[in-house]
Amino acid sequence: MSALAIALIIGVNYFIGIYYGIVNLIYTILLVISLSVVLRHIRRIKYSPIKDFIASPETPPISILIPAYNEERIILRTIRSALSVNYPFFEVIVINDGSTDETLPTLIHTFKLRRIDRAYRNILKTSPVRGFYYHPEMPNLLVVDKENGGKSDSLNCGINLSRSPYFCTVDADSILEENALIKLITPVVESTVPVIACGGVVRGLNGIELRNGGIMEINLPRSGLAMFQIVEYIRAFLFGRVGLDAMNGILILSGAFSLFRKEAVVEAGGYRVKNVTEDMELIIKLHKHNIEKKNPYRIKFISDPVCWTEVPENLRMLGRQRRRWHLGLMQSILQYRSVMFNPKYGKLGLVIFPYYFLVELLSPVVEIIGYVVVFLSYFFGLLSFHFLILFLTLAIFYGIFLSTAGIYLEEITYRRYPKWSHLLRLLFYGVLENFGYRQINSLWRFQAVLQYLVGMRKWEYVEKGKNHVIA
Amino acid sequence: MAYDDRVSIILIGIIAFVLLLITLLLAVTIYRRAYHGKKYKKLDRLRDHYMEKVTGILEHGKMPEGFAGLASRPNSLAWQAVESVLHVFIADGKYGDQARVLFQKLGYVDFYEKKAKSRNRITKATAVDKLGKMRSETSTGKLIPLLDDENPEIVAVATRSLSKIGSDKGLHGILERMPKLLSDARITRKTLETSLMNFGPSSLPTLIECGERYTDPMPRASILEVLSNMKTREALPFALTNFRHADPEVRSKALKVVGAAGAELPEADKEKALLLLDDPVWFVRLQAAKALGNLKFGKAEDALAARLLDGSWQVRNAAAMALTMASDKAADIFLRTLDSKDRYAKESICEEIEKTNFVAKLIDHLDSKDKALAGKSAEILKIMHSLNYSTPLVEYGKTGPDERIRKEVERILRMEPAA
Repeated sequence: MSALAIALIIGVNYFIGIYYGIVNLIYTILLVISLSVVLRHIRRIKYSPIKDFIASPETPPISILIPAYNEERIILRTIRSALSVNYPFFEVIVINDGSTDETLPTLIHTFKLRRIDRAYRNILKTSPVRGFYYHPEMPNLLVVDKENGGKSDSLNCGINLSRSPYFCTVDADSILEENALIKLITPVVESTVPVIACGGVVRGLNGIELRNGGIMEINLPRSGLAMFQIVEYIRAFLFGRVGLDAMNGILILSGAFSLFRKEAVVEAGGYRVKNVTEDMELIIKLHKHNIEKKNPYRIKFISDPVCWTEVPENLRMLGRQRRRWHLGLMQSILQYRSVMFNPKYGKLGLVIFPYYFLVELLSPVVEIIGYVVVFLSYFFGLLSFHFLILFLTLAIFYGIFLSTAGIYLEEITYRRYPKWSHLLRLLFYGVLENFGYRQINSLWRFQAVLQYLVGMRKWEYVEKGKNHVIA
Repeated sequence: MAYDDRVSIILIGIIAFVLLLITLLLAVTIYRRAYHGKKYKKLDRLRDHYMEKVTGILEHGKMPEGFAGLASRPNSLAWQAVESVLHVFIADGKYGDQARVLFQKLGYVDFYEKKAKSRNRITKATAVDKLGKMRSETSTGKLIPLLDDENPEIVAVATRSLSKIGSDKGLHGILERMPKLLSDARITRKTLETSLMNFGPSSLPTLIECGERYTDPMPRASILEVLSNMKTREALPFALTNFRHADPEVRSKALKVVGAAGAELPEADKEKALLLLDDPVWFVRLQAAKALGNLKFGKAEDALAARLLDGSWQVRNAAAMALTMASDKAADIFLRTLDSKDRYAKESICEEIEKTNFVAKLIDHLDSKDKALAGKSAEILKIMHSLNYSTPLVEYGKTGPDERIRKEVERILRMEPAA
């Protein structure tokens, strides 16, 4: 082999080693920050004014927006859960995005809805609306039927119809905890700096027993794939986002459960219809818009309110979902590349954006190249078996450490999984996910990068509702 | 030592360290669950025990001699159990006063008052919150200075605690500082208004007195907002004096107070509200339309009709809603306005006609002996149909009970609606 190739492989090896070290250092810092923030938040919950706000006429009204496309299997339980939240003034707006299944007839039949005529103000431009449905005895439920335009388009339509100063987006396969909304609005109302967006925690719904839209009993799923995702969600929400929130550096609030100030979103132009993930693009836009306008603002993440969402239980669907998420991340970052390293945007341009680009976006690429190069190095005799094993062990052990730390955070804070068997299974899957699951995840994200580069940027549909009996 | 050996030793060292961390985390997680499981079981048992004991003391009137057996070391499990039991009695209300005395006698109030001086923000806020939940009136003097704290979190918790205690002194303490708290953005208006509501109707004279004194519009508007939620006639004179205030928010909140409680106001006062329908600020006009709708003030018809073509859709909707609620001549007015060229205004009217179910009246009028009324109603329904607001007609056409009306409805429906 030529000296150049050897030098190249050795160079890449060093690069990967240094990159890996830096990324893990960043994760460790985020973990330490999160530990401190979450523990303080837990103590603060004790004097949170939730009870006061539940009973107060001053609590701002919220519109819950539920976009639905071919969700006949699960839409009813989602609406029932949304209608049963503990909140003084709210309306539920379901946007049927041109479903081709029985979503709309199911809704009309179940809630005995009547078609009504309403003025539609197309403030954020959307696909044409076909009709409105409501029942006079259920005045806080409105179903709007529109032509298919995608999730962002549906959310824009919901914003146009919303009559509240705040709206909360909820996925059609998600269940809100009873107090989720009031917990989400409390820091918004209490903050002396305007909070324009606020997100809560999303957890895996699989395995949970439901009745009438409410959670009867929390259990873990049998499926190993769902278990991996549950561990992953705990880690991502309890230490990734909490750490970034401490720096007002949140760029992703899950579309499955986020609250927004309507005025701020409309001013920024609403959701961008062309992106495959709508949530990140909107958050970046809100940051950028408010920094440019020099408006004081906060975008918050709170680790307490919970929304339960169904996670895919087969590899094909999971792969689609993960590719879409990563594609969305790439689209959003590259769309707003002018923010990157731009001092005009302060912390956002100099720290947060580079973090998302260099760590979140590039890590699967470096990881996959890393596996190839390390094995090539071993194959060509540039790396001894002894070192190969040491590097792999370190990588896997560090992954296990992060997973265990996530579960530890859950245990010392919210402890949503009450049984001993839950804890032991979570710990077990926290260890096991480092042997295959993480790597395949990186592979899907790497595929998304390749797809982006060759121009395949379409939404991959993920089928939902197959893992639950509809109650 | 060779370079490779050194690297190897460093790597093994790091791996061993990470492994140690993993083991530690696993052990701590499992130990914590076991420890807390045991602790909370014991706490539950203690709660049951003390619930029985305290109930006995309170029901048999053994106060104050019976409380000795409840004393325990601060922060011990027994201390926590007694505290949560006494909170149940306070929330329940039946033995609230006795529970408050017990908190005092058992040293909880002293303990948390000391904690409220802590430098740690969270410890301090927790203690302040506890004093409020204990309804410790004697702590009012100690909580009021906390309203001057630089930290918004402490200010918010102190305000809430004072509002739960509900003393006059606490209310004055908040109201005196209100303008500065709001102008310095050390508390949000929603938090403040929610807390002021907790003081209840007895706070009304003090609220009005302070509201009159404030020259700053923000606190004045907040006081009016609280008064509007109290829905009380006693607040009306104060509200009426604010109709000509320079600040639009104050004017709109004053209208809200009148809209909520002014049904029996003399005509002259209702006319003052009517003038605000022409206010240059849209949200004042909106509140004026809402208030006049609530007041069912007949003289407002023409002014409300003019607002059906307002530049703001919120005002248009409110005016249409007010007309359907307040006016017998709504049909005439709608017909007149539906003749305009402004499509949005026409749609607002149609929407309100449907929402308020005024459309049902219009359909019934199709068979009225009063031919003029029947004609006007048919005309409105035709315009609604031309704007695609036809659903009630379609429904009546399918299932309506009156044969003659159904025929009339079908005749209207045969006309081509707009594209």
